[in-house]
Amino acid sequence: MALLAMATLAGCAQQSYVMLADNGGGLGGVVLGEDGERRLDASGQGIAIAAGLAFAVSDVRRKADFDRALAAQPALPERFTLHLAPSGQLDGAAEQLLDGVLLAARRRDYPVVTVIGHTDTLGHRAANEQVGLRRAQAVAELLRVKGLEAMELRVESHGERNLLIATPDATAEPRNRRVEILVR
Amino acid sequence: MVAAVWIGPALAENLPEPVGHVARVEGAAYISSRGYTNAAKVGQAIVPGVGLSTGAEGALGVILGDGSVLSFGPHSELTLDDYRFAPAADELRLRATLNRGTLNLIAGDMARLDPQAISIETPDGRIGVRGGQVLMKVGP
Repeated sequence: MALLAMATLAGCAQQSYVMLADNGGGLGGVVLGEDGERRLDASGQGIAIAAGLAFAVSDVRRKADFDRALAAQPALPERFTLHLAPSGQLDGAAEQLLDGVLLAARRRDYPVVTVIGHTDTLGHRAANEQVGLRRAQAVAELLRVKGLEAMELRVESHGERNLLIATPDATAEPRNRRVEILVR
Repeated sequence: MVAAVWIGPALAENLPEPVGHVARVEGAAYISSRGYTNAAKVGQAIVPGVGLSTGAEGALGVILGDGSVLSFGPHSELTLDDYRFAPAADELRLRATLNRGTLNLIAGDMARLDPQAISIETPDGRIGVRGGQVLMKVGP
C-alpha cells in the first residue's frame, strides 16, 4: 500500500502541471485544452497540463515544487489612483497621495513609475486618448516637481478603454476620470 | 544610482520599447536577447522576444508593464514570445513559452481587461491564465 502510494506520488511529481494559487476573488482561473474545456476556478486546485481532471494540491507538494519560485517573487507593484474633481482639477487628497508615490518609489532599488491617464466614455475615443495623456502629463509634472527619483518615468494614456466603472459608450462617469500611478 | 529618465510617447522609435524589468536575481539567472546570453541584473530591461533562464541554484523575478509579476525557480527557461499592453489601441497580450522549470505568475491589469490576453505555451499544451496567481511546473 505504502509503496503504491509512493509510486503514485512520484508519478505525479514527474508530470507537468499547473495550479491556481489564488483565484483573484473569483475573477482568476486557468483554462486548458483546445476548446478551453478543462478549467481551474478554485484556489488550491491543480491539473496536469496534458490531460486529466483537477485535484487538490497538497501543501507539501506545493512547497516542494514552488517554494523557490515563490521566494523569488519581487515586491508587488503598488497602485495609486487620483480622482479628478468636476473642474478637472486634482482633489484635496492628491498631495498626500503623490507623497505616497514618492515613498513607494524610494522603497525600491530600481523603481519604474508609470503614470496612466483615463477618461470616461463621453466624447470621441481618439479625443479621450489625448485628454487622458494630458491628465497623465500634468500628474507626471507634479511628481517631477516633488522630486520623484525613478529609473524610468513613463507617461501613458488608456483613454476610455480602461474603465474603473463599466459604462456604455457616451456616458459621463466621474469615477472613470482618473490618473493611475503604478510603481513597480 | 537612480536617475530620472523621461520617456515621451514620441521617443524610442528604433529601440524595442522595454515592457518590463528584472526586479530580483538570486544565483545563476540569465537573459538571452538576439543570440546573446548574459547574467541577469536587477533593473535590466525586458523586451519582447527575450529568453529568461535560471541555473541549478538560480531564481529570477520580473515585473511587466501591466503589473504582471513572474518569478522562476531553479532550472527554468521561458521565452517571452510577445507582449503588448496598450488598452487604448485594443492590444492586450502576454504570450510566453515555458520550456522547463517552475513559474509563479501573478496576472496584472492585462487579465482584468481581457481574460484571454495571457497564455503560456508548454511542451504539454497551452495554459490560458484568466487572472489571479498561477503556479506551473514543467518537468524535464
